[in-house]
Amino acid sequence: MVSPVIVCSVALSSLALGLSGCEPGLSDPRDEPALDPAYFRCKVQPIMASRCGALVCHGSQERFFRVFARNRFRPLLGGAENRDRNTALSEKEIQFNYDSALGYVDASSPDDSYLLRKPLDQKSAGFYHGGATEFGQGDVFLDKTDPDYETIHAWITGATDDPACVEPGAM
Amino acid sequence: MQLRAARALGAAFATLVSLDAHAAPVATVDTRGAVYTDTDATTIVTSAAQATVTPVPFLTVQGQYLIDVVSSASIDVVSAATPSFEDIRHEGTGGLGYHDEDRAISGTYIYSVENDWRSHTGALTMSHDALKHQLTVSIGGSFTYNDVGRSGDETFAKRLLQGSATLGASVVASKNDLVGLTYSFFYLDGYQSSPYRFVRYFDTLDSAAVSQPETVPDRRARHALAARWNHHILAKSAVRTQVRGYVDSWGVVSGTGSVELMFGLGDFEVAPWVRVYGQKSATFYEGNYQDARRYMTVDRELSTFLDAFGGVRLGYRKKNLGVVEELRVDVDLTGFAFRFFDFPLLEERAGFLGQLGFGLSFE
Repeated sequence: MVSPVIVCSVALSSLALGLSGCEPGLSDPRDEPALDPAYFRCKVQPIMASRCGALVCHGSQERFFRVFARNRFRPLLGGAENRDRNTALSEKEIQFNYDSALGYVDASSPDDSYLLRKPLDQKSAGFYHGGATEFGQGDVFLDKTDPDYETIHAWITGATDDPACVEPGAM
Repeated sequence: MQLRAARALGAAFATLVSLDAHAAPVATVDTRGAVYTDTDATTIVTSAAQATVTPVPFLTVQGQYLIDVVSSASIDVVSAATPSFEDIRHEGTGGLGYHDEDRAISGTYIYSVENDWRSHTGALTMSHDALKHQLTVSIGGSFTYNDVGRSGDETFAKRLLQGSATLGASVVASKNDLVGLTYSFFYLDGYQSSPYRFVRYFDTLDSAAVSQPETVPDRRARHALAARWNHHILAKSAVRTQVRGYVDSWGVVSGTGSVELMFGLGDFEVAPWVRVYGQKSATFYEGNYQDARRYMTVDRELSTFLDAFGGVRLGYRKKNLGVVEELRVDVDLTGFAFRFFDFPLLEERAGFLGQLGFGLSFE
């Protein structure tokens, strides 16, 4: 007599083969939101550098969200001397900051982007953010009327700039 | 929520309270305690108490309370750059069952709450005996509403809905054999990521690795087919075997095989058992992502891995002790090991689970 377990094993294998066709497109590349690189470079990146990029904050290897900034986190410089840390960001570093910011943008629901809701105070519907307690002065943006919040929001919702714009500190 | 999988051990207790439609005693009381610990710096202590009352012969009312205390500094926690944490989960269950000679129906409601998760579950199960009790057909369904939060974050609120349906049949194939087949379908719709997990990509060893919050599809359809065969071998002894196949719409394919030997020795019962599980990862899972994908996860439960569990259950039952119709004591000792094949942060995990149960039935 054939063991019922063997019979059922064959049936289960058949089921697995029959149903193993899973939902298509699960490994597709992310649909990158078409956010303007020039606006980011000239308007958003300076905000990230000044308000996010302190060495105890996101200017650190320890953070998932990292920001390269002059005189701050410059790991790509390797063992360069200190004076090189204050040079303008390279194209690679700017691209990194752009990619890094893009990872925290929710294109399907811009207002829910981590890039906006993390630095926004919880009293104004922001998400929990360790940085809110770092300096004892509340979160980065106390409310949505902060001009820097509005600038990032504008970028996420499609604002553009002159591709030839020169970002602060580029010279 | 970071340890949902581990905490499923606690949920296993819930199965203990499934309504026994043919229970003869008027009342039963059971308590259970368990300790789980593993090499990934996680400890879970679980306590549960359950009471069942049969006010009239065809009706059963049941309630249970369970508490899990979880402390962890696992690789999931450390890699999320958060400190070790301690969490407490409370779960309450209420149920009502009806049965007659050939049919049984039961309904259960479960409420579970912890600091970042709250759920309501309703379940209904029906079974029908036919062919002079040689065939039992069962059907069941459940619906769960989950509120998903994030610890310390009152503004983070997501929703996850889950429905399930189960169809089963068991046949008395001979005087020594019982075989059964159960198909289960689960459908989940909503937030299934972890708000604590972030995925690094491009080059995870490079300073220029960028990251984003974990993203997985909102919808997941899961299918499982399980076959079991219980074979009576000697007086008060049996072998129980089960195989289970599983596929889902995320591309996870898995198989499980388990064997338990049960020996009855007077009032004692000894049951050594072993279970082996193998899983192929979800289609979108990668140990190291090289570019930004639509879906990215660092959930090791979605990776390719093997695990093996083994243990022994020792039981003692004594009947007719005056007002106490039955006294039950059982001890479960389980050891386990996991081998992860494409989860760079953790290749192996081993651990131990010990449980002690005590129960009384009254006429």
